[in-house]
Amino acid sequence: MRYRKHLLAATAGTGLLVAFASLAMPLDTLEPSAEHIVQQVQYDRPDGEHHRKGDHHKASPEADDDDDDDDHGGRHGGAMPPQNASPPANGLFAPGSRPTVQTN
Amino acid sequence: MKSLLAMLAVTTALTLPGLANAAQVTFTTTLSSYGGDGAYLAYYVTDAAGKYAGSLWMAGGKSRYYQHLSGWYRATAGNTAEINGITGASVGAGRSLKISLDLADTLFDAGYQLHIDSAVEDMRDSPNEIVVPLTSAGSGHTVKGTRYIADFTYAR
Repeated sequence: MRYRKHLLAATAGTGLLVAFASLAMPLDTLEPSAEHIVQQVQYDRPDGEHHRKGDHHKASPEADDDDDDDDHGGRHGGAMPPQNASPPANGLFAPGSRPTVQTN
Repeated sequence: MKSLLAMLAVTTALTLPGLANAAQVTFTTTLSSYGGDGAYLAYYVTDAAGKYAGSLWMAGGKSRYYQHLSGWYRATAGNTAEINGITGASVGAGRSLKISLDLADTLFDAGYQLHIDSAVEDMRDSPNEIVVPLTSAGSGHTVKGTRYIADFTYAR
């Protein structure tokens, strides 16, 4: 009986820890400055390459602009981070989840 | 003893939903060497009735090009709120994009399908280039694309 109590206590403790662990978030959620550092590295462009992207079909005059907001076309080996910290609440994502993306 | 059992029951009840309701899913998309600029890719899901259920990722940051992702654009009317927080860079020819998402378990084995629309500057649009049912059995299976996507795999 005594050992059973210990066993139950250990199981309960483990369960409690796992319960908290299941609510854990990625570290960069807790430390926003880390995302800033990652962005600096990913946008570093030592070769000075500038990828221009026009409208696919040139359908309208305003579509053929100066493209100063180029998104790089994944040419730099990194990945543009999400514009917002969390995905939309469309029921598809787990609450509090943060997508990670990598381009090779 | 009773208090221990109660505590065990409570911790189990707290733990199981967190473990059972979500799983990390990785989408790996490799583009073919089509000889053009970076491809825009829209990842979205339809339910068993074919109705749009939501977006999972948008590769490509300029909203004025989204009309060329015609399947996604028709389903969302180009509403960028659908992809707020899940938008990244377009993907260059020959490159590979790996996206890891924590998705609800209810998406799998329930008739949902993942669609990928693709488009490239001055080249033909390719709506629904990839359409795969989200199933446990489909995890790890490679699907070939038809135009810009060489192959696609999801792993759960």
